[in-house]
Amino acid sequence: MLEMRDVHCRFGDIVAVNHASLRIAPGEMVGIIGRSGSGKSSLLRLINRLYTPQEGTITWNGECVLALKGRALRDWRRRATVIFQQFNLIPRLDVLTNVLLGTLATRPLVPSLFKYFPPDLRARAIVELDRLGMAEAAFQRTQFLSGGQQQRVAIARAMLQNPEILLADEPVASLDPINSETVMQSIADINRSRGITVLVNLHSIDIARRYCTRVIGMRKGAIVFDGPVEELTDEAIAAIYGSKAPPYSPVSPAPVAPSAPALMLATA
Amino acid sequence: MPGEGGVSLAGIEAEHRRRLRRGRMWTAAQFMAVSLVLAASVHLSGAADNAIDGGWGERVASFFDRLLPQLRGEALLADRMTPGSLASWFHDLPRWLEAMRVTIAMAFVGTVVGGVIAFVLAFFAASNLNRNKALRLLVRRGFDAARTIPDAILALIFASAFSIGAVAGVLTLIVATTGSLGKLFSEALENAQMQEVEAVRATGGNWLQEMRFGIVPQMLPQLLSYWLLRMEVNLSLAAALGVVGAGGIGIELQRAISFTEFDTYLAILLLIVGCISVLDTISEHLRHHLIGEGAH
Amino acid sequence: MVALRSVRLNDGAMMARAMMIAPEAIRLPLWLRLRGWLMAVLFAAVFLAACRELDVSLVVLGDGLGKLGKFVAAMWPPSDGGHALHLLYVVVQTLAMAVIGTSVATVLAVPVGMLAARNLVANPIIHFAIRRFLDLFRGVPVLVWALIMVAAFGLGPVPGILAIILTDIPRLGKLFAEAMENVDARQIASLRVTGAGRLAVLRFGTLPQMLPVWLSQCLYFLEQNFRAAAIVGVVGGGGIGFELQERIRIFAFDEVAFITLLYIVAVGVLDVASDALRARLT
Repeated sequence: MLEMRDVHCRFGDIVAVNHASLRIAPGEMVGIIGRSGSGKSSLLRLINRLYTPQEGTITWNGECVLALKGRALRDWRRRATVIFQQFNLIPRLDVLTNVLLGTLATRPLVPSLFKYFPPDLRARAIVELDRLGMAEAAFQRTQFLSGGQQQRVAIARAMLQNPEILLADEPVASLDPINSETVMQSIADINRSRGITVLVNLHSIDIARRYCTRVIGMRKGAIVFDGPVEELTDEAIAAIYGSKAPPYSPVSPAPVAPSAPALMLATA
Repeated sequence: MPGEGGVSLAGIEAEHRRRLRRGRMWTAAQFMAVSLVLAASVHLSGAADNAIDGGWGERVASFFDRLLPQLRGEALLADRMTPGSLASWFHDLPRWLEAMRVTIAMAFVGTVVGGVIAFVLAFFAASNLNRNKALRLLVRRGFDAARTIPDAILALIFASAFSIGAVAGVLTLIVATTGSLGKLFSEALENAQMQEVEAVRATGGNWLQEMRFGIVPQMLPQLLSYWLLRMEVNLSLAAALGVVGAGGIGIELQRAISFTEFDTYLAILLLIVGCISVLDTISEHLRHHLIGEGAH
Repeated sequence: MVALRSVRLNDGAMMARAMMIAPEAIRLPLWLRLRGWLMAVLFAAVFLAACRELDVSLVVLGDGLGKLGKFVAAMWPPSDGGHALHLLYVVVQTLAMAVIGTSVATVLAVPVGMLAARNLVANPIIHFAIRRFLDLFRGVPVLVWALIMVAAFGLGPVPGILAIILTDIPRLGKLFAEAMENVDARQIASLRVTGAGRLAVLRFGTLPQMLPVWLSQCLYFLEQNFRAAAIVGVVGGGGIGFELQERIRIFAFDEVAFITLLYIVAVGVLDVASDALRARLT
């Protein structure tokens, strides 16, 4: 269970997260919506400890995340897996190595620097890639992949981290509608079949409605809405986005046919 | 309408002439300034005194006479002992080739060691990778100092300490290379995409892993390119530093001069130029190959 | 730690599955794995061979470092040996050498550049020959020229200046040739169309485009030549190099430090002046 209490994060004069508090139960899939600059990204980065708050506490299952240091901190970062909008893969390295980078926190230093990963980890990487339909590209450099393909590689990397909580920062904002569906379904499947808690930043309310059971709305760094998706009325949306109406994602196609390559298998 | 608003043909012509005159005066002033600087330089440098004692034409003629080898068509391919042959012109070729080997070895070792030191230090001189301002400044000033001091002077000092020989030359090259590559490397590193570093950090990597996976893959081709370019420069330098005693082919040049054998000097010079040319071409091919190289 | 409710294959089944999908990913072919190590070993072998050529021994290094330490200790405090004014004069003299060298070289390099420019010389053989010639001599360091110039023409600043000029002409020549080749052909064409003769085209078409490049290179080479002028003195070519090598010979390292500091300051001043001039002219 993730608990954030009165977390406040400032960069100079700019308040990124304004006294935010929330509680996420294990296994939930929560969507975070709000305008650009409303603090959604910062919130996720605070949980992963890429940013450090000036005030407040963050605990995971009672363990204080902010006090972690050194090895324990890196292990936490592994467990609080982030998926980025820009995929954040290493372009000049191949897909397989990129996926294996997810295991860095568990590997001894010297072999990892020499890009040595044991066969069982490599096997796991291949299986995860295969589940996402990317196994054929294992030796291609990621810079040659399309956006949708790169995000799938990023998800495979995330899986190798054995996440306890998945933090997705606008994972589909750079993707076209079809790829967006594919990726969102992968994430939803991870949540359902593996029971991993998911916090996903979204710029599309439509997607939030369809995939998430609970929605958090942020505005100017503060949490202004926190409740089940049914309660997301037009007034609530107006409060989150201000007077300007949010951009709706284009009408999504019908549920993807079973032949789509990126559907994750519920059982192995 | 002419006369209204002060715009008339005569007015424009007058303005044009004024501008032209001003332009010409400005050019004349610049010309005078440059001439003044030149005249002062000639006087200050003592070049005038040097040149004034006459016989320059004679000196130049004598110089070319001693410089050019006395080759004879019919004897060109004859052996070393025959005057007029190519072999007699390049009479000490075996020893010179050995000296060239030493020179190349000097350049190689100097560039490798200097490159490694520069690579490691560059991470501490890059503002995006090292937050400690004091350390950054120290390393940067170090690079600047190593670059500014003329290499020949360093070579002289090292030759004093480590005695005449290649060791002094290698040390000089190491210092010069560290300074030059250090600055180039750190500037390149500062332009690195930090996104990739963030990715490794978010996944749970430590600083070394962040550098190894986040920085090295994207920067390696460019860094290697700088390194190879420096290797070419160091080869020239290695040849030159021998002149002040730092080992290699330069010592042979000194030798030829001490016997005032200008034609021998020319032979060695051509050897140096030829070797450098060949090695530079190889280096250029390597560089082009590296820009499209595989992943690291 | 929360028990992971991840749906996983057991390890054996996972490996079997992976081998079916992409066996080459699990077990890299031997030659691929060896390749990296082979290159590393090769490189190390070459490096050690080179070191052996150089007669590098720890004894020599140790001894030398000791002496170097003493030299460095002797450098503080730096002293002018009572020749402060003379040394200042020599620095100015060095600068003067650089100015003359740069001026002559930049003027002489223009016709050389023209001859080496593809679009100015009709005969491709001449152009090719000159370009190759320039490429060959570009690599000759100034010290090498200085050595023979001093031997032929005696001690003093003139041989040093000659050496500077000889080093610069191949490099400047190539730069000018490339600049001329990159001249905007349209401007030239538009001039030709008006009936301008070759000289006029040169004066009004090529030259204005060349001028900024020429000036920029002049300043850059001036800075480089100041350094070169400081070096040629070491073999007798006048300037600060001569003073330095005299002091090093008698181990007067406090004076060496002083002169070096003077030189570094001069370089700094030249740098600032050059930047100011550059800003003015562009």
